[in-house]
Amino acid sequence: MIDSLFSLLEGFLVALTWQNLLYCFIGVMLGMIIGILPGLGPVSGTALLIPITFGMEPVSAIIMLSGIFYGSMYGGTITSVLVNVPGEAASVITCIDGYEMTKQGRAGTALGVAAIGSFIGGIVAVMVLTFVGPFLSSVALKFGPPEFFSIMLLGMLMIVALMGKSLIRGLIAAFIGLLLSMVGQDIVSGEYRFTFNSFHLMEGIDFAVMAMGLFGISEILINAENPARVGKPPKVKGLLPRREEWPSTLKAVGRGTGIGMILGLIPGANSIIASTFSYILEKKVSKDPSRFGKGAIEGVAGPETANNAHSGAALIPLFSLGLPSSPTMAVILGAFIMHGLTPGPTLFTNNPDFVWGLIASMFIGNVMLLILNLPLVGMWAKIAMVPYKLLFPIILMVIFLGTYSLNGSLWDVGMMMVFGIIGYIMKKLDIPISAMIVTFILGSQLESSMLQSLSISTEGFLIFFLRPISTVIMLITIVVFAMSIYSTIKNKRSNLEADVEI
Amino acid sequence: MTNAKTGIIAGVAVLTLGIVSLIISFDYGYYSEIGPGPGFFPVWISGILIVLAILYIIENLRGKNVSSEEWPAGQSLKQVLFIIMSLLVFFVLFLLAGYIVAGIVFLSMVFWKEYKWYVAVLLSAGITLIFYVLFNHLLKVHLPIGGMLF
Amino acid sequence: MKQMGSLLKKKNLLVLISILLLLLSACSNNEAKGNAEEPALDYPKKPIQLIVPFAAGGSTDIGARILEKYLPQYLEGAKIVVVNKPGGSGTVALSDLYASKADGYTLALTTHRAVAMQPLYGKTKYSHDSFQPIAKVFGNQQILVVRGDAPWKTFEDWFDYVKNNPGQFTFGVAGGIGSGSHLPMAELERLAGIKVKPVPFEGTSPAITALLGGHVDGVILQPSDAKAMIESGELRAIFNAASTPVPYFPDIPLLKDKGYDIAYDSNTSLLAPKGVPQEIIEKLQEAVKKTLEDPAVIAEFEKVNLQIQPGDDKSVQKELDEENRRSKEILTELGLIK
Repeated sequence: MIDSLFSLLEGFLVALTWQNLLYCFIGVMLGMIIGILPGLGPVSGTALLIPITFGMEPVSAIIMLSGIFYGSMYGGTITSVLVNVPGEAASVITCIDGYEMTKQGRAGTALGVAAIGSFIGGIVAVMVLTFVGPFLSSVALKFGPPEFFSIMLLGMLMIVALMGKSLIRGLIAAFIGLLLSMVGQDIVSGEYRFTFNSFHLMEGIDFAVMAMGLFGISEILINAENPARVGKPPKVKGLLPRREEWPSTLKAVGRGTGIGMILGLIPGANSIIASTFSYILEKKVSKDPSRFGKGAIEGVAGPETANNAHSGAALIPLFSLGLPSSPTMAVILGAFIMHGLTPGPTLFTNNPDFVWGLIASMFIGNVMLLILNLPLVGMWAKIAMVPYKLLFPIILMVIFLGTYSLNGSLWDVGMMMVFGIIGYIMKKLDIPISAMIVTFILGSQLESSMLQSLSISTEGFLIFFLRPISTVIMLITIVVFAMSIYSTIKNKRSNLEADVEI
Repeated sequence: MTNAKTGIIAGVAVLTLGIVSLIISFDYGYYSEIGPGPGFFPVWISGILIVLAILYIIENLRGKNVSSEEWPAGQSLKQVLFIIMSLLVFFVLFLLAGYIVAGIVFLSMVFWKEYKWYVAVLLSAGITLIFYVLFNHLLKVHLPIGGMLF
Repeated sequence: MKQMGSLLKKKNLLVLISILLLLLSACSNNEAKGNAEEPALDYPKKPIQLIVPFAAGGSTDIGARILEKYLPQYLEGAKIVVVNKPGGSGTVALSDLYASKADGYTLALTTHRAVAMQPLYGKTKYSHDSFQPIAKVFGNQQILVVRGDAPWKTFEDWFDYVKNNPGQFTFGVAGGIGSGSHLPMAELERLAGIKVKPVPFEGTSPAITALLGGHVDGVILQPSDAKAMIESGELRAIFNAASTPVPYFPDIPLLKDKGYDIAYDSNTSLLAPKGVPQEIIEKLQEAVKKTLEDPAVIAEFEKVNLQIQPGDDKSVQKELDEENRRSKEILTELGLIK
């Protein structure tokens, strides 16, 4: 423990050289820009920039890449809050209450809380995990395909059960999302599914195309019905939560940190699972769940913290086991190997200056993000002050061009517009959009983990109930499902559950 | 049109989607000798979607759990259709005449009612050009200036 | 992944940001110092996209990253961008290559298997002779690993176990059922009369994760993917299914030495779509040849445990044809294809 502390101090010596500080700064800034641009997310951001790190020292290179990674996670939040377009998958959940807060003139607060939450989540996750991570990550290996399948099933079901007015409508959204995730080539068998022999569909539907249409365009169509309702946005009332909101905000940040950390340790657990669970937990523990979906500050603080704690924690399995826990981590792993570093049990002993330097730089990077953002938040929030009649055409244009820039293809733009209309109709029918997009993101992993479980299993589907962790999760899933059905039959749902209209 | 009716129409649409995808899914191997095949998931998902669609239609027929959202009518409907139409114009002009023309026409259309005509045109041209510079020069994403027409 | 594949096409953004960074950082020492070979040929004048059909961090990816770094030194003005397009045992990426413009700006570094074997399933638009090989780059083996605490110390231990417990031993195969990492075991099953259970994974990393967690009993992989873990004793190699021993683990027994006629090599070559002008092919071949002779490159390949095996376009095509013929026989015998 003491040894680790000394190593960490030495790490700071490495990270605090002016060069590494500069790279850290560049990484964080680039990451933020990448996160704000619609379409570009952390995976593509880090992958795009890997070649630039060739001429650098390995430590500097990895410091910069990690900076891009968590910078883009934060950047993605900004567009979710301001214009209801999630910049990357983990911010989908932030849209729900973040955008509502913007409508109430509290964009500054939403962004401020997200910055503070991200900072605390990121720092605490790194700090705790530095000391206990290597031990925990071997425990996390107990998560095999059956556990993955059960936890993803639980996450999806919770989204459905807790977010809509009707279980059936939620399930319809979820299953359409799953069906859409099947489009493209199947990873396991190589079979092309639902591509209708179109080359454009072979790689599947892009998350960004779907999110920009379902969230961004549909919101503008809803607003178009009644321009007077949008009117002039109220003044931005400061960057910090109101005095009475602090305790609940900080509690949400604390819970978010815990959830993000635990899920980040498990190689393969997506960050959207972390933010989803955090949102659901906040809604469950809240005294007045009806505020959720109407601009509840915990609905932003919790998930944002969770997703940053997740990104910090995700580095631990990479360091200690050499196993990437997300697509972004896989890209960073490639960078490690390219620079002659072999992540795995030997990394801490063979390259201590590297590991500790990087950990120290994450402290510094997170501080930088916070310092950069508190003043910038005011600037971002001013975007929400632009008169709507001027703002919405510009948003439409950015969404249009952002989609076009993905592949330079109008096909994507057309598909995005179709999703926009679908999103509008879904809002009118009160079918929850977020249930559809969450299942879409997790769909292919859900499928492959189920196929793996069944291949491993000697008892068929019983495998999900023969392993302790998976059994517990499955039982919770069944209870949640049973309760939802019960309340649907009793038709108490609309009284009991606070309704979120997304 | 009542909300229950639109709910039924939507239910039928989802039902159709489920049936079509179920038929397509049967083309992919449901089960291989080693385990579930590529058709396993799609078949189940489509099947469950069909059941859900039927339940949804029944709910709406009984008038239970109907969406409380109002469908737009009159002026509101016109405004929604107007935005969809202007996006389509943007799309088609982008294809035919390139970004600059499409951008200016699209923005002028949506600004027309809100601003005086010359303000609308100037504003549109300004915004279009700013984005052109941003994407083409800063981000190096090539936005076509000419289209299929010229 | 989908997002990544499509977004990586934004190589222009990359160029911009790299210029920015070069301006910002005085420490970059990676300027291309090429020597003009054929000044008449105006190639390359824009970034070359090098498609890797597997996820970042795998053998093919690492090899591609080395080429990305060094090839521009022997190809004046070149900027190479590695694009990972995993999925479908490489067929996603190769279908893209097949459909791409034959202008020399889209190339792929791919295992022979993805080209020679996958088309046998009849789901790809391309076949084993649909591409223009440029050069062979490196080779690798395939081995079966188990956890270090597994009861099987030797091939014989393991073999006795699977012989006496049919259908009990589960092993992860990266790329799915019937893929290249499944075949050696499938053939061993047939030749030795044993029965084991394959579990499909998206790639080697998730398969190793599952192995370490005890969810599968073994994984078939390339030795370079698990070198550190084998050295530290966390994983143990049981057999080598290739025709050559692993240079750094010469003790792993070859299946063919154990009396089974099985030899699955994993060779990796640089391919282009058919129809790329001959001058461009020759220029690329020349550049690859010089790159692979560069001592710095040899050192890099050694550092990441990949074995350079140069070869020209004709020898690559010959190996592709041969592997296609052999796989066809085996897959037919196994009943995986008709």
